[in-house]
Amino acid sequence: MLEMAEIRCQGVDKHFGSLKALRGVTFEVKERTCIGFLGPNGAGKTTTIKILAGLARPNRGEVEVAGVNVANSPEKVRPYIGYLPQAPAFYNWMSGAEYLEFCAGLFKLSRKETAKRVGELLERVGLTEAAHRRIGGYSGGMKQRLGIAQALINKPQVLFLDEPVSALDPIGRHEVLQLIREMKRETTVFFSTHVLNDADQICDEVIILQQGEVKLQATLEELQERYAAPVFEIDIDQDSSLSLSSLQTQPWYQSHRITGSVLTVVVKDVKTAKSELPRLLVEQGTVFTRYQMQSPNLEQVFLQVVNNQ
Amino acid sequence: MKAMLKKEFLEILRSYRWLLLPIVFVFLGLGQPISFKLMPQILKNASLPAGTVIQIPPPAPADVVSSILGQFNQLGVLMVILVVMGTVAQEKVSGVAEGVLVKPLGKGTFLTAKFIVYSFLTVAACLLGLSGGAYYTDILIGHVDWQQIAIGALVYLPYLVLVVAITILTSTLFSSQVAAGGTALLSVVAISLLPKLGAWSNKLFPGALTTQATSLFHAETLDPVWVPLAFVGFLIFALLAAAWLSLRTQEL
Repeated sequence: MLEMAEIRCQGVDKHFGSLKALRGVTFEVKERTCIGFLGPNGAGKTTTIKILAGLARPNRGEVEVAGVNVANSPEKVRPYIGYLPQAPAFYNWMSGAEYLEFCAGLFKLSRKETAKRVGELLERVGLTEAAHRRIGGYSGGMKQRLGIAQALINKPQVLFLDEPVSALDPIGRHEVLQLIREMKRETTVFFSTHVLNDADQICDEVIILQQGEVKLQATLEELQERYAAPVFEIDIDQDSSLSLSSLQTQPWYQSHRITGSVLTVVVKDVKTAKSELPRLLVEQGTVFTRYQMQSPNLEQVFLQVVNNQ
Repeated sequence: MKAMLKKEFLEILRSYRWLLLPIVFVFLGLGQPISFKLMPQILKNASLPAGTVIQIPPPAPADVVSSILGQFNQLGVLMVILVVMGTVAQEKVSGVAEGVLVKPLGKGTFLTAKFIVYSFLTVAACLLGLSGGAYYTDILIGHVDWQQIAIGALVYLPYLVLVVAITILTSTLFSSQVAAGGTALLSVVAISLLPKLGAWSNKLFPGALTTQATSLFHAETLDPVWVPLAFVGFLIFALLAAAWLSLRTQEL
């Protein structure tokens, strides 16, 4: 099956007076991908999302979402997208169920569909019990979950979530991440965050934005490879012999260290070492109980990208 | 449109605006015949110097009903502005407009629904106040010609609807409710002063509607009312169109 680009941003500029909020933002997102949109505060994440959702117009550049040219006709993309603002606001005098019914009405769902969809969504975000209470009395976490429910009312093709977890406590965060994990099976999810651990857990790809420019777009696997530290840790079985003479003659070898039963090897060429190091050890009759390449976490990658001007 | 209308109705219901506005108009409407009736009594009780002679001619029912419109024009208009001024501004500031307008709801529909519901509320409140006032005038002062009142009301109501349209525009232009209300109030004052520019403007501008309505209460035939009526209709349309254009260019 041909994989289609669900979101396409080409050379997008956005100015606020003399401030250049976005400068030539370019990226593509394939169908059914979960994208973590990362960047320090003020990088332009919210601005980008608003442009993608058709709420703001770019000064220059092309924006396409679900096959619709958003910059030219924002109203045409509305049926296909769901959007959770950074600080979702509701009519506080409505109940959660009423708000969802109102949203369903905007999408012209029939009465029957509305009842079904609203019930489903309330259940899914865990608001069934609070469904008939006024939103004004909801906690922050409940509002966030209602925000997600209203974004899903039309079964969107593309879902934009602006900082969905940043304002939540650990429990709320866990719940919302779980929801996003479920949603990414059905839709393309594009969510911004500055909590890198969250992105690490649920997204397939990340885009890093800094000062209005895309610094990096890569899958998590690519990141692992590209930013892997050239360090291997091996737990050596106590009864086993260890000879390092042939290791030290390898062209990719740089240095090693032994602490207790742990052998740490620093290499020059990660790719070659990855395949040759374990083989070498086994050939020499060394038994090891753990072998691990030190993998970078997203936070380290992020800092490396962002600080590497 | 249906969802938006339902939402606006529910909002005026839950926020008790549906009670507030009619109460104010009824209060203003009943106040006139009652105070006209009691005026001699009040003056008698006032501690005037001995020998003061005040002669008050008995008020004509038409004058009393006309004075109700005078009340509506001041406090009534102010209340309409206070009730409407937040309708767009508040939703923009809270961010709820962003979440709603990202859905397939035209900005025109968004504004029109508000205009319809608030106009309906205003018209209902005014009719209630005016008929209550006229009824009391009939009891306390003297016979009232209901047909004249009905025609006068028809001529006067578009003026209040115009106030709603003005306030919806200012509420769209500004993010602050206070700025929206203040500007709306200034515009209404300006509009009510315009007829005083000269004979031609008296025939054209919306303030003329109050004058026309007043003369209709007196069963006088004056200038054709359709000129200011058509002009008010045009203004309402233009104001809503301006609000729509403004909201279209705003980034939420």
